[in-house]
Amino acid sequence: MAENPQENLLPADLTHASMTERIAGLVLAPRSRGRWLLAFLVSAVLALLFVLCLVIVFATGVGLFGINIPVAWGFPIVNTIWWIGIAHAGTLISAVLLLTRQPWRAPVARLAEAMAMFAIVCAGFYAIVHLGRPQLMHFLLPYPNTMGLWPQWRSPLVWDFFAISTYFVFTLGFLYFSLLPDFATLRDRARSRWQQIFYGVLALGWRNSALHWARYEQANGVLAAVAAPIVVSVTGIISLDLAVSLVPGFHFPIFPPYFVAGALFSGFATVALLAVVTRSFYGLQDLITRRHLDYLGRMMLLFGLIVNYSYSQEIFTAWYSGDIYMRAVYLDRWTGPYAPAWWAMIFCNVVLLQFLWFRRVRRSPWALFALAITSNVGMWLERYQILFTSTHADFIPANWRTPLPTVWDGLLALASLGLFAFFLLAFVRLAPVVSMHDMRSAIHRREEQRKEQQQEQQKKQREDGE
Amino acid sequence: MPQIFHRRTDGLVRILLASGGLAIVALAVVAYFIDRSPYLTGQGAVPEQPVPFSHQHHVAGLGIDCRYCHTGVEKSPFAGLPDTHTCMSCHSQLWTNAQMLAPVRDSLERDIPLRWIRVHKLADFVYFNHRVHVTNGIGCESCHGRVDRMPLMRQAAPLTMQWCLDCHRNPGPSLRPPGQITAMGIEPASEARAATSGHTLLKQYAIHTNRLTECITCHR
Repeated sequence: MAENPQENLLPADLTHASMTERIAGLVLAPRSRGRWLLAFLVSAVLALLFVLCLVIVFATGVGLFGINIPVAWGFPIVNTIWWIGIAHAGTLISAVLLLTRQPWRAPVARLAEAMAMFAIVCAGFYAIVHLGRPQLMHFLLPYPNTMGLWPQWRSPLVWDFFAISTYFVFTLGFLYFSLLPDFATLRDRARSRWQQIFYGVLALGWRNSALHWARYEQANGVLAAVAAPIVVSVTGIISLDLAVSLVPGFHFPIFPPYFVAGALFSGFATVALLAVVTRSFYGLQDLITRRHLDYLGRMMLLFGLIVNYSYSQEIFTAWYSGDIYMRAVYLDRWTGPYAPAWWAMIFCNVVLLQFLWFRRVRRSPWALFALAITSNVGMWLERYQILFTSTHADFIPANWRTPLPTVWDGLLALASLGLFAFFLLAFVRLAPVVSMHDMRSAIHRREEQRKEQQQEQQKKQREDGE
Repeated sequence: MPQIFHRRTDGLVRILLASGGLAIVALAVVAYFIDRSPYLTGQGAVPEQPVPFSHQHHVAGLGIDCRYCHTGVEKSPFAGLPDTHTCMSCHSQLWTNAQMLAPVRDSLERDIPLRWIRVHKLADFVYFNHRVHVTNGIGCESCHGRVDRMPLMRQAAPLTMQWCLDCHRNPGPSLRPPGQITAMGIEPASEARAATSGHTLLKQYAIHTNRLTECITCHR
């Protein structure tokens, strides 16, 4: 008898009605309000801190950050790359796993999409901050201006702008699209007038008709097919910001695939982190099972190993090129002022990663939670060391400096975490944290398979009887 | 189950969405034209001067050369505004009692220069050099317009970067032979004539057009 792939991923007694009842209930009639409120307040304070920091930074200038020539980019770009990377797994889970019909995708897809959306918001803010003159941001747009100028298409800054804004629009559309049938469900189940109107407007008149669903499936397929190249190109382009320059630590053609793998590694780590938190917070252990965590852990391991391979290739290239500057960058990474960041990165991303080979670790929420955090820390350190070690000591020793982050760097980074949490907490309060329509189709597929198996068994019994 | 929304809501939402889209387009179009309007560029503005000096009278009527008053135009980045003594080289003899010229006499007497108001004003971050333009075939008229027809000095051009670049990207048609720099009423050459005369003038002045649009040419 063939194993039913849906069988172990769904609770045996889960039906359409009981599933909808539970998930919609989390939004329409939440029970554990106190913890949510506390977390929301803390994140709201941090989000306000983010706004405050932005105002002060915009009013004063980027000189507040620990950046100056030769390290001209520093924290803002470190965090832009980090946040964009986190966003990537969201798009990959929602789109690529959809196209490849992975059965374990349904309960974590919504989380991943929401995570992608809010991570891009954080990345976008950082991209604007790093411009230094945010009031001139519109210069990146190709619009007919009285200067008779178009954007400099050879500049990575312009590529960034288009990559991030495309990704933003796409993710917003994709998230909303997947929410549409669920908003309709909430509208239909809402008791209070205000909830009915709120979800009614958001549902855009979705009536669950066969025609709606046919078009929905069609559009969803197209969007998912568009998503795959976007995932690769956005971080690829951001890595080119570094790779097109001539600084030895940046100038590696391996960067685009290396960054994409790193992005997916940190992204899957964040999905795992959110999955662990959500399932214990909302008591969804039966929907987001240990097997789901196992799969997320496997994805982390896969992309983590590609990242490890990239590290080895980078080191090999530095040695094999025979270029003294490239070699010097590597010696500096190992022994220079930023060496602690490099070794900490290796510890997080290479040493700790190997724990994911063990099934027991992948299936343990606590272990996965801890590894998700260390992986994200490791990936952040990776971007930090790339940005700082590559530029702080370039070709001319007279230019060498060792800038360190300032209080403002730290405050804004902390506040951006708060902003992310703020959006996410508001989202899980207002929208179903698990995609109800995806779960329904998963339940439906399981029922179909059960029926088939029963029929086969009956047929066999009849044949045996004869 | 009762309906949540009125049955016209759907149409209303569609209209709102469409008008929202239209509003964005309309806003862009309006912004496009406001950005180029004289209100923002200052084209056509006539600032009030300490003395209502008429270029029309002095240039067209009397035939005084531009360089008689704007002495720096061939030697320095600034064309230069005339000092009171330049005015007095004629007006110590002519119209000595005219009420209109009282500020000039006052200036001479108290030895305080007249405060002429600059009409063609470029932004501080633009490096502009009169000498380079005037000695390389650009006539006064190209930027300042028909000053021989201006009773009061008026900003002839929009002075936007687009306007500068229009010429910097294709200077040929605007070039004049050295003798005609201060002449008035010379139209820019047609494309056909520019192809021949403009080409020879470009060669004659040794103008390298590829350098004219580099950032550092004007922003230093």
